[in-house]
Parts: sequence; structure tokens; C-alpha cells
Amino acid sequence: MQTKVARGMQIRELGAEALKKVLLYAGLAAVGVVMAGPFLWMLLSSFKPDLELFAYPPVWWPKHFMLDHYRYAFLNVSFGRYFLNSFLVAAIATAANVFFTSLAGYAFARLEFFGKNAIFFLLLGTMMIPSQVTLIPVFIIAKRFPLTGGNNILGAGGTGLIDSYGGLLFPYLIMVFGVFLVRQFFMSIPRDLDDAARIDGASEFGIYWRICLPLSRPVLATLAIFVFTNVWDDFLWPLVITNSEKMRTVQLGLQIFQSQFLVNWGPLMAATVVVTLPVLMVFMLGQKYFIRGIATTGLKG
Amino acid sequence: MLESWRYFWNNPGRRRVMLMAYLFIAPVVLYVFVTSFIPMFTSLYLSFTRYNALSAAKWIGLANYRDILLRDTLFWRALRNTVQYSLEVLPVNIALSLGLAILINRKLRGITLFRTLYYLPVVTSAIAVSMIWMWLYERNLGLINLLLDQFGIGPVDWLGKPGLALHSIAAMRVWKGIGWNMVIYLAGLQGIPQYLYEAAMLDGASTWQQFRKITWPMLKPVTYYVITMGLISTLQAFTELYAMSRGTGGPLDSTTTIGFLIYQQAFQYYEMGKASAIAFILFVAIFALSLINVKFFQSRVEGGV
Amino acid sequence: MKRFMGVALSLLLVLALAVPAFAEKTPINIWFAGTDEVFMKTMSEEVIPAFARANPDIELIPTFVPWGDLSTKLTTAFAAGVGPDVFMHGAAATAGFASNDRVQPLDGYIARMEDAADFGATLNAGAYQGKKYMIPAYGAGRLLMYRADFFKEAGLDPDKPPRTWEEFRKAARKLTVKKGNRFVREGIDLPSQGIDAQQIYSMFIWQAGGSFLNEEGTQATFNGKEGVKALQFLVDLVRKDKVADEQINLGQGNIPPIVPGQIAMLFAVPGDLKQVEKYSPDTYKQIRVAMPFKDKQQATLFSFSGFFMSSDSKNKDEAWKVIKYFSGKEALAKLCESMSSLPPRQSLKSLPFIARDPNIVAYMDAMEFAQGNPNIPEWVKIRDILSRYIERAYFGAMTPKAALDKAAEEVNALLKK
Repeated sequence: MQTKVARGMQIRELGAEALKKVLLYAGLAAVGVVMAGPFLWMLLSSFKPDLELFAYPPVWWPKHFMLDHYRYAFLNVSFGRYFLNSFLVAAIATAANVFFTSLAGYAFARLEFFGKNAIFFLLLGTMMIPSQVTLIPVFIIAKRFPLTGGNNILGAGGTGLIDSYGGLLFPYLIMVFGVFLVRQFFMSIPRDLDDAARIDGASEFGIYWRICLPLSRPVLATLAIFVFTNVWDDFLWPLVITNSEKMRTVQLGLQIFQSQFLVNWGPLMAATVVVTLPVLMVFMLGQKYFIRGIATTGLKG
Repeated sequence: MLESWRYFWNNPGRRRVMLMAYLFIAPVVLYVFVTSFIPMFTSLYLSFTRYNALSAAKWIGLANYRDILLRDTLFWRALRNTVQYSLEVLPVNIALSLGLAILINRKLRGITLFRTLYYLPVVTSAIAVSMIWMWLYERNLGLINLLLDQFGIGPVDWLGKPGLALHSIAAMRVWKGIGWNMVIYLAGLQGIPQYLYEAAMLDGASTWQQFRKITWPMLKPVTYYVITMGLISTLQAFTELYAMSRGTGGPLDSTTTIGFLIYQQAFQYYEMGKASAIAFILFVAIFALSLINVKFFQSRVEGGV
Repeated sequence: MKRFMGVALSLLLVLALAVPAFAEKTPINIWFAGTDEVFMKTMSEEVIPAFARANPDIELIPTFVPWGDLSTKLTTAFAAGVGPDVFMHGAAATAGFASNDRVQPLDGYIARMEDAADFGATLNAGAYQGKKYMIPAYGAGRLLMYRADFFKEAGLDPDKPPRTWEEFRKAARKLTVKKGNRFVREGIDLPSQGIDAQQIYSMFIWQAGGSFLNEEGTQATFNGKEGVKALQFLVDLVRKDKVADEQINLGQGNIPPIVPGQIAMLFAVPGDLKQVEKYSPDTYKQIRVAMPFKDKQQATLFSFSGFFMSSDSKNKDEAWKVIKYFSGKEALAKLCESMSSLPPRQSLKSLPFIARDPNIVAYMDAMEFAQGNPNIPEWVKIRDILSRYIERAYFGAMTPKAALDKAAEEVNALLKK
């Protein structure tokens, strides 16, 4: 009888557990609809003929499923080249940021040095000026960059970084928000670890490389995702720094469907869907590192 | 200051660490010096000039600042809108993104799918997003009004009413930004040692108590980051307000923000000097709020946990 | 990354070295406004190659810039001294560029142009202080667009559209359909905000015989008798006659609200016609446009975009060759058709895409009543001040008179500087 009761309880517990799971999934899905709704709508719309796209009342599921918008978008625009450019720039920027900003973030979080807070707040301050007013000065510096684009050592005579990959990369290679992000995370890693390593004779770089970095995979993944997303989505800088067709990026490519008075929504949505995919892929790769334990296993052992 | 320098320099161990640290931050500092400091100080200089980017800048002292602060009625309206927008977006965004991060911080079949779905608004292009939300908000045929109509409410002119437009755009911005902070909190949650929760559970702490005593305090540095970056980005907000008011900043100036004014001065009026001056007034505001944020967090961190 | 930069750098070096080898070709940078795909295709596949064949001595380097970001890109480039030799822009930009000596007066070249007369008065669209800076490429104007079937439904004759303000008001009243306080169909769609609001006000103030500024451009005159009358009339349509909503009707996506019949009339640009035709050819059969109303005079707003020559250009004669080619009859015919805009040359009125459609012909005919907003460097600011106060009047926050007086006060303060 006792076992029966116990079994009953077990079953009830299992039932409660299953119910909990169902509720959890229902909740996750409901939030998913709200968050992803507009994107999904865009995805569905990209397969609809124009008249359905703007129909009233709205048509959700495409009645006449078609790929015309995709064909139109990708036959008319040399997106291949744009993708290559965007990808190169975003990938290089991501690698550079992950390395340099995590190094600096580590120093600001864990090392003591003269002028630490002053320098840090100066860096932070640069983010507080809207880019609209620094756009022209940054552009002039890119144009006057020494020894590029026909410039001499003083930065005169040529067009500098204008319309080149160097120019596209110029403002992205190190972004201050990364330093700040990494600093905040490194601050929460217990210090006893590096003290122990220091006693063992590890160098500062060794501590950073062998202790802090491995513990920080989630934040580095975050950083990589953010840098990639930011660079991939930026529109204003590629607009001003590039002139020729072969240097354009995907965000500039999307402009092709917007004329002075109206927007060609069908192809724009089709292209937007495709342009979004690489960022989503980077996100999916990065979020794999968001697994509880990676950061803490080191502490226990 | 000299005292402090000697403190580091005269001790070989501290000196070594300091030099190492300088080496670590050197690439960042040098790079930021070229790509950000010089432009920033150029812009500061320009704020004391009349400069239209087409001919040479002319020094006019404090005239831009005087014009903006004393004569420009739209500036004060825009400042109020900006602060209101920021204060509406930030708390809601933080609460929801932390909530979502906790919700999806688990091993579960298909969790990658949900995480990706929640991140989608971040990566969907701003123009497409603004457009879709304008359809949702449309006063006659918009989906939201269509839904409300089922309950006999409305129709509500979400973007057309002077008292409502800013809130409507703020709601959109919250939705668009949740995914970003969710990722940061998700990464932050990985850093909280599991044994803290195990110990708390042994003590019989409720879920809420665990959140209050462990999760929230442990996430302090992350929250500090989220608030600071949130202040910086919402106080500079421009794109979505420009798009959703169709470039007008209306109705009745209700969606005109500081970022909007800066864009207008810089690239519609060719008043780079004035745009820079507005930007530096904004800079002071953001800096002040960030300092309050620092003070708040320092006192909380010492007092709590 | 380093290697990459190295490769990029050496590529650039090779390019830099290679240029002198083709020294006989003069490079001319031209920035086209608009990234519309039909326009880009027409230009880069037809017009530009044709130019290259006709001008082997010039190496044309085209860049297509989105309209919305044209000013940003131009300003940035000019600030760094890397502006293009030739660029397209709206006529409204003339004063700003000209007052800063950024653009070259073209009067000398125009005098030597055999067929300059073909442009008629449109050459004045880009005039500033007596000099002409722009060769127009295409234009757009505003005319009343209405649905013939709605006219019939309301007992109006679709072949006799309103010719005066009073007839217009009456027609709008008859066309309005309401359910309680809500509009089922607005008689007229009136944008109350932004540039649109200002442009519609332009038409009415001119029709009333008023003007925005005095001759010298030093004093606001829009708060005079005519200006107040015009705004009062427009505001009354919203607040007294209740034939229009306070807000512009955006419709659903690209389908203009006149298609589902949420509005019966609007002040449309040619692009609106094209949109109706594209998304609802059946509705388009019912679409008509009317000539500008006459109050004191007939008038409407036309705005032109065209080609400017940078005053920094090192090869001005070649730059002029480029402008001359692209504003020539053949090139303009292609350009205007690809943008479905109105050609500034009267001789192009017979182009098939115009002649086949009486509505577009009407726009060409209305060009004789065309006026443009004042060409002074402060105009963009004045326009925005006006828009803000016009909006206040529409929303009933101020009376039209008070709104215009306040706007005039701000404008005068601005002009005094």
C-alpha cells in the first residue's frame, strides 16, 4: 500500500512535471510569437504577390506562393559581392574586437595602474557623442590617412582610405562598448584565481590567456555576436566611405528597392530576409557558449 | 596625483603590473585616440564655430550654446521628450530582458530556436521594422486596432495623437531592444556559480528569494553595463523616431528628440557647429546621468549582497 | 588583416600608377541621385555606355546615392574635399551650395547651348541671385487627383472638376462619407505635417496671390492677408467643414488610400498616379486630375531636380560635356521615363509614356502655372518653421492667423542674422 501511495505521488509528480513543461513551452511560444511575429510576417510576405501583400483584411498565409520577389531582388542586384564585402568587414572587425577589447577590458577590470579610472571614463565618454557630429571629422581622418590611397606620409595628395576595405573597416576595428562589456564581466570573476596563478609565476598575459579568457566564453561570444551584428547592420559609414559598386555592402544594397517616393516592399522584404540570415547564423553559433557551468567549473575544481 | 604615480612606480611589483596594463590597453587607447578622440575634440571645437561643412569654420564663441539654451524653444521640448523616452524604454526593457534571459537560461529541447526567435527583432533592419510597426499602429486598418475592435475599443490613433505617439514608439523600441540585453543577461547568468543556488535551496529559499539574494546582486556589474549603454543609446535615439513620424518629429513636436535635432541641424540645415553644440549639451546630460548611475551602484554594491 | 590591408594598399598603388597610362582620358565623377532599380539599370546599361561611345576622351565614374542620404554624403565629401565633379540634387539645394561657392554658375555654358529654350522657365528653378546653377533633369508637381466614380456617386460631373476654392469645398463636402463621427471616406486627404503640409499651403497661398517672402528675401510676408486666407481655408476644411481628417491617410503599404476609397481626392504628384496604376489598374481607369484652382490666379507647386557642377572640379569643360549629354533630349527621355517623372523639356511632351496618359499630359500642361518655393539658403529652416505652425493650426492648437504670425516672427528673426 505504501508503495502504491508512493507510486501515486510519483505519477502525480510526473504529471505536474509534464504540465510544468507544457506551460513552459506554451509561454516560450507565446513570447516567440510576439518577438518574431513581424519577422515571420515579413518572411511570409516575401512569398506573396504585391496585391496580397497589401490586402485588407491582411492575408497571413500566402495564397499564391511565389519566389518572384527573390528572383527580382537577386537578379537585379549583385548581392554576391555585397555579401562578400559585408562578411569580410564584419568578420575581421569581430576578430579584432574580441582580441583587443578583451585585453583592455581585462586590464581595466583586474589590474591596478595609474590613471585607470580617468582613462576608462575618457573611453566611455567617446560613446556619449552622437556619431552624426563626428561623422565628418572621422571621414576627414580616413581621407588623410597616411600612406594609403595615394597619400604621402603626411596624409596629403590622395584619397586615403576612401572607397577601400581599409576605409570600410576604419571605425570598427576597436569599439569601446566591447572594452566596457568585457570589463564588467571580468570584474565578476573571483580574484583568488589569478592571485594563485600569480604565485605560481604566471605572467599577466598568461593569466589573461589561460584563466580569464577560458572563463569568459559567454561574454566573448556575446561580444562577437554584437560586433558582427553592429558592423553588418551599419548603413551610414559604408554610405559615405564607399563610392564604387564593388565596395558596397549589403545594407547599401537594400537601398535599391527604395526610391524617392515609394518603396518596393516585396523585393525589399525578400532581400531583408536573406540579409538577416548570416547574422542569425552567427547568433546561433555564439549562443552555444551560453551554457551554465562553463564559467563556473573552473572555480569548483 | 604625483603621490599616486609614485605609489605605482616605486614598487617593482606594482610597476610591472602597471606597465603590463599599459601594454594591454595601448592598442585600444591609440586606436580610439585616432578614430574617436580627435573627431570628438574637433566636434567640440566646431561647437564654438559657425560651420556648414562647405566653407571654413568661423569662430563665434558661445553663440551656438546661447542660441540653443536661451532662444530655441524646440530644444527644451526635445530634451523633455528625450528624457521621457529614455525613462520609459529603459526600465521596461531591463525588466523584460532579464525575465526572458532567466526563462531561456536552461537546457531544453529547442531552446536555441526560442533564443533565436527572441533575438530576431535586434537583427531585423530598422526600416523594415519601422514600416511593419507603422502598419500595426495604423489608425484605420492596423492590426492592433483590428484586435481592439473585437472588444469594442477604439480605433486608437497610436502615432497620430500628440499625447500618445512617443509612448507608441517607445513600445516599439522596447520590443526591438529586448533581445540585445537578453543576450547580455544570458551571458551574465552563466557566471553565477551553481553552488550558490544549491546552498540557498538547502536553506529552503524560495525562487523569489534566490533571485533577490543571488541572481540580482551577482548581476550588478552586468546591470550597470546595461543601464549605462541603455542611457547612451536611448538618449541619442533618432532612427525609429524619424522613420515613424515620417521625418516630421510630430504630431505637435511630440516625437522630436535631441538626436532628431542634431540630424536636422547637421544634414538638413548644414549647421555643423550648432549640431555639435547640441551634441555636447547632450553629452553633459548623458555623462551626468552615468555618474549618478555609478554612485548608485557603488553604494548599492557596498551596502547589499 | 595586415596582409589584407597590404593587398588592398598595393592594389590601390597599382591603380594610382596605372592612371597616368590612360592620361588621355579625363576622369569625371558623377553622383546620380536615386538608387531606384529601374533608374539605375537604365542609366548604367543604356545611357552611360552611350555616353562612353560618344565621348571616348572622358572616363565617367558614376556613383548612385540614395535620395534620403544624398545631403549627408555630399556634405561629408565636400568637407573632405573629395566631392564629385557633377552631381544631381533638388533645386531647393541651390541656394545653400551657391552661397558657399560650392557650385559653378552655368550661365556661360547655357548661353552657348543651342536648345536652351527647350527648357523654358524651368532653368530658373536652380537660379540664385541672378545666376543659374542647375540644368533640370526631371520635375514633379502637385495637382488635384480624384475618382470619377465617386464624383458620379455624389452627383458631381467628373468631367467638370472644381475650378475655384468654393467649388472645391463643395465637392469635398459632397464626397465625404461618414459613419457617426468617423470617416468612411474623406472628401480630401490633407497632410497636416511636414513638407507635404507646407507644399500644399504653397499652392493655396500663391493661388490667393500671396507670397512667402518679400522680393529681397529679407522679410516674411506669408502672414499677410492672402497667406492667412489660404491657411484659414485649409484649416476650415478640417475643423469646420470636417471633410478631411487631421492626419494624413497613409493607407496600407503601397496601396494608396484612394484605391480602397478611404479618400476621394488628394493633391498628388505623378508618382502617386503610377502607384495606383501599378497596384490597381481598374481603379486607375477612374482616376482624373484637375488643373490648379483659380482664386486670384491659377498656381501650383513644381519642384525640379537636376545636374550641378562642383566649383572644385578640375575639368570643368569635360564636366559640362557630361551635364550637357545627360540633360540632352535622348538621355533625358530615358531618365524621365525610368523615374516616371516629368521632363523639363517641352519637346519631350510627345514621349510615348506621357502622350498615352491624359493625366500625365495634364501635369505637363499645368507646368505653365508652375511656381517654386523661394531660393534662399535659409529656406529649409523656414519651411520647417512653417510646417510646425501650419500643423498647430490644423490641430486647432492655434488660429491660422496666430500661427502664421508666430511663424513670421521666428522667420524674421532668422533672416535678420
